[in-house]
Order: sequence, then structure tokens, then C-alpha cells
Amino acid sequence: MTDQPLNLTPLDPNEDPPLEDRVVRAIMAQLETEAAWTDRATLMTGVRSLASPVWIAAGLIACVAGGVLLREPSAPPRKGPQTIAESLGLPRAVAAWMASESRAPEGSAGTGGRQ
Amino acid sequence: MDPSDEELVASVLGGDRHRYEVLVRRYFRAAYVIALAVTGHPEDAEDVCQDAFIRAYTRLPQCRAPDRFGAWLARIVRNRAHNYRRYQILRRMSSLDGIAPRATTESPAVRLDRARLRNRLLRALAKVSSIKRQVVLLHDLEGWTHGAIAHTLGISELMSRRHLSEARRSLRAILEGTTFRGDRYD
Repeated sequence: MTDQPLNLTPLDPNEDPPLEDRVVRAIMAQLETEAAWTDRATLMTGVRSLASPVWIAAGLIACVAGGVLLREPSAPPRKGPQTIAESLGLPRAVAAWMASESRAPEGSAGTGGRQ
Repeated sequence: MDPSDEELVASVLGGDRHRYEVLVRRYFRAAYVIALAVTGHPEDAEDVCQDAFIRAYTRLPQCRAPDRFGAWLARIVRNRAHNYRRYQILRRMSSLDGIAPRATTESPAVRLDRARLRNRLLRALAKVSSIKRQVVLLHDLEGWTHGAIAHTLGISELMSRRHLSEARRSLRAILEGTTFRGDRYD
């Protein structure tokens, strides 16, 4: 009968016992190598993401804000009443000059007579 | 109880890549036979197997039916084997002659005998079409059903039966006058 199964056992990979182990070892070794590369690439991607413009901008803002917050105040806050000029943040000398100017009309009443 | 293909695929996708070895060992024979049927060279089949299993691993997230990992892998093996064969034909334009088995721990006499038997069958198989080779090897060597062969090779069960019958007839005609006695064709 011609339709009986053929004996193809000489082609059976199990005829060469080391074959399977050899191929499996090679496959797993290659997977380990590729996995190591993938892990490294993932790490590098994470590091690179930190260097994005948004992160850089956020870092700069944080540095500036931190510096301002930590900076020692240059002069203790004054107590007592402040003039309007001082309240506006003008230098003390300017504020004093403006205060003297606002008092000037009373002191210079005699000069107003010159016509 | 052995874990199912689905469980193994899930484990591998979950990060346990060492579980992939179980899948490799489970499907190595089938992958090798398909690769051998397409390439016609035992050494090429080995290379194709290795390449196909690596490719299957990298594409594992795309395996839509993990419970049918075997059929999915078989398609990858076939594609890789066809590509490999085309590349090899262009590269060396050689025949099936001159096949030498890789070094093993067996004695030279046993190795030579096995190589002679294998060469004889490979030469006969080289004279039938690739699809017939795949069908006859998967059926008569691997013991696959026509349903499984049809699904993997993308043909109908009827065609699988027809290819098998024709392949057997052709191979018997080629090997005419030779009989398999225990461990050799004479």
C-alpha cells in the first residue's frame, strides 16, 4: 500500500541529542543579551526624559525660587509709621526729600511775596 | 501538570523571560521540521529555528491567541525559512550535496551513517515541492493532524491530505528499490 506513513526518523532532530540543547542555549543567550540592551536603553530613555526643556525650565524656576526664599533679608523691617513714599518702596533718601518738600510751603511763606 | 501555552506566554509577557525556554523546548521539534522542510538543509533549519524563536519572543505582545502559540510560531518559522531560503539561494546557489552534520560526541562511523541516511532522504525530499515537504514531515515525522497542518500552512484539510498522499507517492518512487531496515535505507 502506497499511502502508509514514511519512516523519516533519520531526519528527526532527536537523532542528534545535542541539537536541541545547542539551539535552546543559543536562543536564551541571545534573549539575555537583547534584554540587557533593552534595560540599558530604558534607563537611558529615563535619563534623557529628565533633560527635556520642560524639566530644565522647572529646575531653573525651582532654583531661583529657592534662592529668593533662602536669601537673608538685607535690612530688618522698620517699625513705626511709614510715609507714603516709603510704602511705595522708594529709597529712604528720596522719601525724606519728598517729605521735606511737602513741608516746604509753610517754611518758605516769605519768599512767596516776590512778584 | 505542565503549564499551558497561555500561562507561559502570560508569564513571559509579565517579565519572566526564563519561562520562554519551556515554550522553546515544547515547540523546537515542530519548528525544526518546518524549517527543514522549507530550507532542505539541517544547518539552515537550525539557524532559522533560532531566528524564528527570537523573533517570536520580540513579537510576543502581538500574539493574539496565546493558547495557539504553536500555530502562531509555525507561521513565523515558515516566513523566516522562506526568506532565509531565498537569501541562501542568491548567496551560494548550491544543491543539497555536501551536507555535513555538526560535530557531536558520537563516533565518526555512527555520524557518517546518520549523515548518509539523512542525505538520502533530504535528496528525495528536495525533489518534491516545499508545501508537500512540510505536510509529509509534519504528518509523518511530527504526528500532526491534518487539521493542525491545514491551519498552520493556510490550506484546507482536503489539500493537506492530497499533498500528503502525493508526497508519499513521489518519495517512494524516488527511493524505489530502497527499504528501511531498522536504521538505514538499503
